Amino acid sequence: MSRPTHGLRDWLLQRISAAYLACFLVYLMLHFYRQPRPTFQQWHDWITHPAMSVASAVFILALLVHGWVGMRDIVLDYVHSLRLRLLVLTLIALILTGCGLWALQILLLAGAG
Amino acid sequence: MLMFTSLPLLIYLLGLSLQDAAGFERALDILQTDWLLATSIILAWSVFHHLFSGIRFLFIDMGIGVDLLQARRSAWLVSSAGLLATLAYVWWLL
Repeated sequence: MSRPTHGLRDWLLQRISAAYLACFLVYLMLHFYRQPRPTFQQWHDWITHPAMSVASAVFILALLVHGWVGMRDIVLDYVHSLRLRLLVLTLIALILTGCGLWALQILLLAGAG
Repeated sequence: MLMFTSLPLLIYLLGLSLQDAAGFERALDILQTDWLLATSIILAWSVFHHLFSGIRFLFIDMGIGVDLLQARRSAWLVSSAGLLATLAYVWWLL
């Protein structure tokens, strides 16, 4: 694995994505604090507002990157068999990619509908 | 780990809630089942603790609070803040 050459890049990615996730989460919390029980229309309009759509898409991408680096570090620390490690990492990558595409599709469909 | 494993369910609920008004009500009903309320509290705790400890690590990366005494204090601060925020979430739920 080419881990040593990418250590700094991943470290930086983890922190940049973390900063974005943190800001977005704080925004989400403030929103749900002010509007705890939205109606379907309010909820739909909020998510499909262009600025919110873009911010959510970036959130999903940041979550994928952050989740990948974090889960990979857990695997590298605790799974020592190379074969098993490859299998688990592949599964995680597939699940994360699948989740990301699924979430983006939901955003796109909601925006179109 | 919990945050990773709860992703599919959260995305499913997001999709359901944005489908139509009926899907939105169904998603709310699912969220209000006992076991999901309980799971959401544990998940909220995980996220809050992760958020605060992440901020702590950012400060430590910048060389702030590296010495042992300060690091111990901030660790306590982070753990308490995580619990307090989780309590606030439960209060918000009720």
